[in-house]
Amino acid sequence: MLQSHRVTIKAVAVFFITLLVSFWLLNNDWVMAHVLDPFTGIVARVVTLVFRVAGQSATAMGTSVTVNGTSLSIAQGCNGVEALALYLAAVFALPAGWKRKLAGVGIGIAGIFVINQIRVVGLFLVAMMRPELLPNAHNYAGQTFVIVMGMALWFFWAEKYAGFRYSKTGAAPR
Amino acid sequence: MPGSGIPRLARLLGRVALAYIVVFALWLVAAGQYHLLLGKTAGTLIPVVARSNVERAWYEEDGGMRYRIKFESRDAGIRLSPGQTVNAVMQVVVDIHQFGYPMVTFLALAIGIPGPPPRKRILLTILGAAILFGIYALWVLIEVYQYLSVQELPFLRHNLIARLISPHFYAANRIGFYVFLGQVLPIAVWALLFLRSFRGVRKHAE
Repeated sequence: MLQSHRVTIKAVAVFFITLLVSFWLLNNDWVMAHVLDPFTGIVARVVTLVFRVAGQSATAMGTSVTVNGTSLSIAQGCNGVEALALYLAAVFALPAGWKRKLAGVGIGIAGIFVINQIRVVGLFLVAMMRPELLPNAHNYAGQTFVIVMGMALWFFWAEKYAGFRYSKTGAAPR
Repeated sequence: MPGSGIPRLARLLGRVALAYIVVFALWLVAAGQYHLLLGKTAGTLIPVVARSNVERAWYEEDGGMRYRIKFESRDAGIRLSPGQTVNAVMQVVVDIHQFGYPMVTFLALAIGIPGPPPRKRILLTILGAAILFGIYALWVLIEVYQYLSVQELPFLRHNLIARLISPHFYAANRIGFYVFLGQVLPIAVWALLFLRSFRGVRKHAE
């Protein structure tokens, strides 16, 4: 019993410490300028590529994207990095070997990038077809979507790579 | 990633996405009532922290479009002017809407992620939603008091919340509070309630 509580307390502590460090980094000016801004630029270019493949007229300038005359700027909070920080905190919190955690990091970076691209493309479609819905779609639907799907991705990793299984006896992780 | 994992991942993401869409659609219908209940609950908590001449505060829906905080007291000296109310209402409406999506996050995860049988899942979902609701009601209270005491009604400054969270500390860390309440808290509550029933983590097997 004490052992299971210890595991839970350790997992919670690792989760919150990782989050604190992550959000401190995300708010660091150097990280913003040298990591997050270029990364957001990549997000913008990939969105442009997606629309071009779909036969649309799309251009990217920095973090701004224009599709068929509709322009949106991809801000820091819209690049999926916050959802990735939550995901990584959950990966590090779970007791698993470092190779498995490394696999989790790779799955998370790739998966949440794709999920966030779906969100940004979806926001462009909303902006082009129903612009009056864009504020709500951006502030509430899009952000929640990335966080929820990111945690689903984490659950997949936890099941497949960390042996996480539901137990009817209700025992905590060993 | 092994090939056998792709269909499993697709099924899981599809299931969670479906849960998210259903929860969000229901949320759009229920959000007004939820906000009203949140405000009323926050209002009933006012006497816990307020000066003795504030009996309660109500959170009212006005024509389905606007919301107002109304302080009631016997001496009438504490009632807000229309301008003060509008300022407070604008602030609180923004905040309450920001509190809306973490509940969606929690419910989508609680319903969409595989695990407990239906009966246990329902119980844990209700418990988690109640915990989140209570915390958000308290936060609405904090928001109202911090905003009103700093911006409009300095005499409200002498209350329990102001002593626990100073206006300076609140102002400096407001975004951090939002990130915690909006993004971290629903996931933490979901994890603590739902993941305790999981086992078999391979720590040392590589």
